[in-house]
Amino acid sequence: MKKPLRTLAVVCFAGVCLAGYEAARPAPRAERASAPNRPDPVEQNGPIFEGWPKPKLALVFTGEQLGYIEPCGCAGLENQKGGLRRRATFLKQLRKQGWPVVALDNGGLIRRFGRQQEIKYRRTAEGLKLMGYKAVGFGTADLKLPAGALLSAVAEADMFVSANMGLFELDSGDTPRFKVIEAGGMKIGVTAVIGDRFRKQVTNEEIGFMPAKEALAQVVPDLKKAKCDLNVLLAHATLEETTALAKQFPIFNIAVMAHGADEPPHEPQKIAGTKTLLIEVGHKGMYAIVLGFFDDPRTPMRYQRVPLDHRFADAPEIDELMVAYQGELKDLEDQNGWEGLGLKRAPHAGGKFSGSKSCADCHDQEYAIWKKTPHASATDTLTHVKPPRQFDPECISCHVTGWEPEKFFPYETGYDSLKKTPGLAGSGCENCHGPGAAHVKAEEGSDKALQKRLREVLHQTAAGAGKEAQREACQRCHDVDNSLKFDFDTYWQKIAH
Amino acid sequence: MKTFLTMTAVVALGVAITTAVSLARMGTPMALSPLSLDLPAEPDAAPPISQPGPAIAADAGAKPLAVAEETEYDFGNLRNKTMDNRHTFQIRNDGAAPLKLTGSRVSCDKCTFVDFPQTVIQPGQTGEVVVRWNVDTFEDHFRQSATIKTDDPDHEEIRLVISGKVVRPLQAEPANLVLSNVQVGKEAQGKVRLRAYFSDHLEVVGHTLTEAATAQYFDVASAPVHKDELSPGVESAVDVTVTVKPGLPVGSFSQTLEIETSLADEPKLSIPLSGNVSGAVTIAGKDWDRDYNYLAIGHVKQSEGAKRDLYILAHGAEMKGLEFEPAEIDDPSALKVTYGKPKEMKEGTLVRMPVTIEVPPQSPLVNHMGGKEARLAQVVIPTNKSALGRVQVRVKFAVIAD
Repeated sequence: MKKPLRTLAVVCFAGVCLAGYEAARPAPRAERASAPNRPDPVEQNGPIFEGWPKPKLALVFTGEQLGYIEPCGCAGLENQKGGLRRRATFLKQLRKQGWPVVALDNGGLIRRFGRQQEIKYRRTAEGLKLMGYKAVGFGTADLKLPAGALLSAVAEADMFVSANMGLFELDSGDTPRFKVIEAGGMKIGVTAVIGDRFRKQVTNEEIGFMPAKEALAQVVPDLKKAKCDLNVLLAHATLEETTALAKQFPIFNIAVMAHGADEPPHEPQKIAGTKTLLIEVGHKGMYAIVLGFFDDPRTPMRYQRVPLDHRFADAPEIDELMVAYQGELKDLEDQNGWEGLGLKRAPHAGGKFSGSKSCADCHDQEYAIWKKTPHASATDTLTHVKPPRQFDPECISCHVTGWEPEKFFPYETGYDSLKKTPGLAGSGCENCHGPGAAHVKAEEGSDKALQKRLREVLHQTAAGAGKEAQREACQRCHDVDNSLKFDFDTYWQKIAH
Repeated sequence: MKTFLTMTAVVALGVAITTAVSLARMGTPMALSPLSLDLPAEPDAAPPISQPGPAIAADAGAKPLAVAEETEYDFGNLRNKTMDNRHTFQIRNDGAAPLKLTGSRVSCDKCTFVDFPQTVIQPGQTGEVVVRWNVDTFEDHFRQSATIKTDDPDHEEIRLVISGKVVRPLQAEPANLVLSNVQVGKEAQGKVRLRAYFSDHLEVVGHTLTEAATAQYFDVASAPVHKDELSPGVESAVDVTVTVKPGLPVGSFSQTLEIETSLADEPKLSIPLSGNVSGAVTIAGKDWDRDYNYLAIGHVKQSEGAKRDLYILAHGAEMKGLEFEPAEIDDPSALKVTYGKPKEMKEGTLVRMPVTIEVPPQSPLVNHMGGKEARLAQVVIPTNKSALGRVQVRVKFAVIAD
């Protein structure tokens, strides 16, 4: 070969090798965790879909979100699972890979009652619609909402289904009693029921109900006529009830139950005495369960429990939904204060709050210690996250002074806003010690007996109480959802005073 | 031609070498996405870890073989708030080389713990793995797992699962009572069942309603549940009936019912009560503020306009035959109201009327965001029912330039 050609050949050879190597080089493990010291989610929670070829159909089951639109807890996201953002990314990834996906939810979008829950329910429904859910049932707390609030959500999306429930009356027509979904060349029949035990917990004159068994007796003949390849029962019901329904109606290949364990099983199980596969989805939307169907007689079906951890990035369209949700809370609070969110202030048994600065007059050293702790900047934390959360009662209740942390309402004289009650920003002294206004006033007076009594009351709440009582007081906010790594002995050292 | 063939051969060789090197470097498929979708099925996967593996011939190459006969344990009923519930699993080494237990992880850092004092298990020996669980949960069922890592190449991880049912000495169902829709001027009732799992003589000895301002509107009564009606595992139960009496204002309400019981372990139980008192007419829909009675559309871009679907719900038998007359709009330049078809429901005691409130695109710039200079827009819907009269819908919005 002539010299220039030889040179060219060598250069080409080297270039091809280099380009090929770079393209094929797997991302190093560290790149999957986007920040230093971030735990590897696959290492932490296990790989998924190992050995799976592309299925001809993937049914994705979720449910019992219980109001956790964000990962279970909001702090330490690398340790938490769930959230609508990650779920959306997960579903998008499956679809992008060409999987025919049918997403189904067993209901239980919220856990509590009230204005915020109505908004959260509607916004969650919007999120499920964006994610392309095909069938969504109703949970117990969902059905406690005013039917008008449910109607707002139901009318915007045609994904809701229930065999034994109707808004205002059973056959209102707002929700179909069953659905037939086509995907992957298959027909999937889906219906949903709320089990009798949970149905009895709903006292709502605006909802029409029928016992689950009676309702299914009416719906199953229609499902049979539809001649579906698969039939799914979304049963927001106990294991016992779901089992009984599966036995009574063997048409169902798959039955999803509710109120099982926090964590779904790693392997599927058949309901004893039936051919029905039982699905548990766990709680707080931490997991999705995927059933993949294949044209492989050796392995016609596979099961995968998918932890919705930080291997799934946040979906931007759900980010927008979260911003809209927080914006809605803010608008209501701006217009009418916390009453705009249906919250009523309640008196605190210990009296009125006065703010941590009033403690500083006498307890200057303790105040100085507190000022350096994250407790003092707890409200600031909320204003700096995206979106800001200082209008969200579920967040504010632990990030300010003078709110009930587990029931999410303000006490009389508790925090109102940064503008009106700046002295009650942060998780202040009185959150642990109790309201201090009476004590401050007594100290300014001359009644020694009253001074002594109130000092003892406030002192008892903290140092005087047993360690178990102190730990429980801390865990009202530092609970397993929001403070996974909390250990009293370790954390106390950071604020000891 | 010769040159071309030479170049083609060079490129092909480069690609072949590159591919071979890259494939050799790939271990567990990590992929750029978390999903390994294109791996073929593995018909020769390792045998299930719950079954003993095949005997290893001396000439097969010495390696450990981890065998766990039992990988799941059901604790059955566990009392809530009990600590250190434990079960010992066993891992046997059926291989020809020492088996190392190299690490572990648990599904719940706060509640599940795993100990294995023996990190090396000699061939033919068995090591113990103790999984401990602290019960502190609101849920009725639990399932947690501990995953043990080994150096058995065919069983790199062994998952041990514990499960069970949590019972509390005293349980209220529901744990909070919601009376979702109390009609103004009418009574409503709800029930809470108290269940005792470790006592056969549960009684309610007293109760308190903590919100003094509204306590007068609640009555509380209790009655024991007959033993024939008790669920399995329940030793005694009491039904507590809460009656909401007329007098509460329209809007949401909340109370806390504190119940004192005869149980030494659980003397007090706190049950939140909440709900809504509704008038004869309720309105529902996105952005409808039920407590302050207006539709908060907010700022609307002139080119886009906005539309909201509301439902007017008129309650009462007298609403049968309800008709809406054309709406009276105080700012018709920027608001349009259309009615859907009314629907009679609940045997004529409820009429549901869909109403669409629209700010049409290209409406003039107006401000109805409230305050003296910008009062809310008013829509009045006359009806043919004197009991209902004229339904007022206030709308908070402003049309802004794009």
